[in-house]
Amino acid sequence: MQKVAAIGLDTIKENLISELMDLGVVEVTNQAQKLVELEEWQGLAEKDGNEIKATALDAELNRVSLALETLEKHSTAKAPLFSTRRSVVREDYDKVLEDREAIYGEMELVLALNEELNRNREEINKRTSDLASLKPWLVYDAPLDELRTGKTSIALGILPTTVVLEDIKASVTEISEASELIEVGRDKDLIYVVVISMTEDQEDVQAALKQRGFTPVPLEGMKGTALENEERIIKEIAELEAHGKEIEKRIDDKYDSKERIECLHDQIAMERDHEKVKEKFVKTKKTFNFEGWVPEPAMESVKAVLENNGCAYKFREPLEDETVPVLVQNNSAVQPFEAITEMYSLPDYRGIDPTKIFAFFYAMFFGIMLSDAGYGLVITIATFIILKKFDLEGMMGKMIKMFFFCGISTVFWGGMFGGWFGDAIPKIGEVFFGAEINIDPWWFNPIEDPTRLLIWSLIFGVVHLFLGMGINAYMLIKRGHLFDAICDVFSWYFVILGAVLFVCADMIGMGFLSTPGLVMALIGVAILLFTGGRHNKGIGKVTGGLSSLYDVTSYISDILSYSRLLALGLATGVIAQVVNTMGTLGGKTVVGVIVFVIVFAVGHVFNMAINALGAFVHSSRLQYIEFFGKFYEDGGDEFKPLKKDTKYVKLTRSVKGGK
Amino acid sequence: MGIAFALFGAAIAACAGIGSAMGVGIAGEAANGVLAEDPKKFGKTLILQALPGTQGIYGLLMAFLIFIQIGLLGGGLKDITTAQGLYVLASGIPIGLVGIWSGIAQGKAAAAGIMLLGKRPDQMAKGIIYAAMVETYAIFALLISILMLFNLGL
Repeated sequence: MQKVAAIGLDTIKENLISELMDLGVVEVTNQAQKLVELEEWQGLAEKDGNEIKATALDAELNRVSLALETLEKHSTAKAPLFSTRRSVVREDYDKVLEDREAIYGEMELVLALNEELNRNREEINKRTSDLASLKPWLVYDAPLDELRTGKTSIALGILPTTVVLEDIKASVTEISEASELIEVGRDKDLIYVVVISMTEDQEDVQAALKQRGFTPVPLEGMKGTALENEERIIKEIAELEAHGKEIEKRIDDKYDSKERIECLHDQIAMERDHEKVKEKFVKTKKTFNFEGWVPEPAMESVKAVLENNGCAYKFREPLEDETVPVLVQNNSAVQPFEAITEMYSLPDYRGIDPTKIFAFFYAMFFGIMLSDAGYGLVITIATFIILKKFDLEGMMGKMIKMFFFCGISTVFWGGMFGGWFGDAIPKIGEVFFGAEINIDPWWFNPIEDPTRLLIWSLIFGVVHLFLGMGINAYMLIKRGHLFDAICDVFSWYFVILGAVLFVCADMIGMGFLSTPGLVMALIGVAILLFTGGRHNKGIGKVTGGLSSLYDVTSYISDILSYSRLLALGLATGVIAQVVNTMGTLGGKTVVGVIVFVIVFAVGHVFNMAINALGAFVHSSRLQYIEFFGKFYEDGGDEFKPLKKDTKYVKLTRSVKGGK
Repeated sequence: MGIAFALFGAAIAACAGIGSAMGVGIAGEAANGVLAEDPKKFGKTLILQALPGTQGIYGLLMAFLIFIQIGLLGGGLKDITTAQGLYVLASGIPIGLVGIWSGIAQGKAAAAGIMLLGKRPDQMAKGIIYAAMVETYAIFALLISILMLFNLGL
């Protein structure tokens, strides 16, 4: 990364920003912050940018997004499996946007329909709640709006179920002989009652009732009996729902304007970014100034743009204490595995990008854990088709490509262990054709000899761990700490290798190696004991050595952790076998074949899905915990250049394509 | 008699499914909560929910390995002495017991991961890793079970 600082004339500012956006390789840093932080900058310049305009553009963008969401939600068109950006030729894009007002018109139309739909929904909700409140009154067959006869008044209301109804009834009649309280219905919490009284007594009766917890229920706007009202509301709801359907259809009819509105969306987004980046600039009356990060390979093109616009500029190396954004770059085979690194955390600017180192191991571990060539083929072919059909970008694209490689690895390891949808082929041969077909593994079958795979898993683990420790040593040496590398890394190489030799030499029939192994391990232990406490003082020099030797537990647990390669690999293989065994239980009959096909499809899809998830998670874990733990310095900030950050369209330059 | 003990061992191994059932249930409850706010997260929550399911699979795996070893699947039960039957029974215990508790614990970790997913979707990978840490011990238990079973010399 290089830091660029540039000063230019106000007149070319807009043009320069547009050209930098086209390039998409400069991350503009907040220069305006210096005005606040540094005293010598105060009074020299002022903050650039027009916040009001940027906010207005943001608001506009929100409206456009809402319109697009509305279209998406009510469209009957089938959404594609992956949403990708459309490639649009620049000229076509400009042509679409020529009539910007018209697109705004279409957008407003969609928004208006959406508004109408919302209102319609509110109406339906209101009626539904009316319906619910009407329900207890259905048995009350007098008109709801006639609450008065010549001399009497009627009140509808509720009482809590906690009251004793008889007492209340008595107290009502006490106030006036002609008053009466009738229960209409009750549910868990409430009693629904009708109170009939002489009009002149009504106030007294109600006042007495209110003390007992009576609440009048106003059923306003209801004409006729409850039953009639219910019928009317149900009909209204049906009408409103039909109306809603119609609006939805009208929104769907507008679907063909979606592409144009998408162009508008991206245009506004770019204009907003264009406006917002200026907030990081500072300006004087006639000039502006900004700073930004540029990756080294892109320096020349940035220089050319700055020259063309007549800017004064300067590039410099980052300072010691500066936070520099990180851009990881790898070749196309390794690049998909950046997804794994990104999920953890980007490397520190001064650290090492581990992607190219672990990519191979990632695919290998994935393959051993999924360990079925049939599943591997399915994954490889599926991801290949997806990659051919969709132009995926970003994290999703990387993941799919990564699974493509992992699928190939799975085919390889599946073949090594002899798993092709478990033992499907020999089983089918045996049950349906009465033929004995044997598919020999290229290496060995772990179900017959799990101990062998366990040992190999641990060996792969030691290689992987040693590599991580090696990177640590490399970085220590590079920074001039050769002694630390010997004490903290190479000593462990001695201990682990020596111990393995000492223990295993007899098993592999090379007993003469066991004594050198013991010597090696002891040398390692000695280095650890004598140097482990070198940074401590006094008694710490002794205990430090002992405590560094105690790290042996963490190394053992790290190595044992790789036994998951065996466990997950076996899980896939055995369950696949179980699926095949269950599928062939029906024997060689028509029903048997049908049962087999169903069990085979469902069982293997399930087994593949759950074990592919396991392989993905645990392969990641082996990188994150065991491998990264040995050396990785993370915490870098992602490089976020000023670019045309579009969501729906990908602008291409000429008719012939190209980026 | 030997066969009975061996089958008992397979039954204990399959009990690891208890842990998975509870774990997946705990994670599922959390997933419903997150989904109420953002239904688009279904796929992601499903991944986290599936994580505690592996203990049950390990238990199933061990049970089937026992079946294969004693010849229950694919013809002819082997002659197994009472002592051998007890060996097989012992080999089923590690994954059976560890599976129960690690499944529940992993379910809790996965539920917390789902909560994390609700608030900070970009940090999902870390939630997955935390939950996967728990599984290590189920894997170790399975490993011990398998090593015990295969080194019996049946």
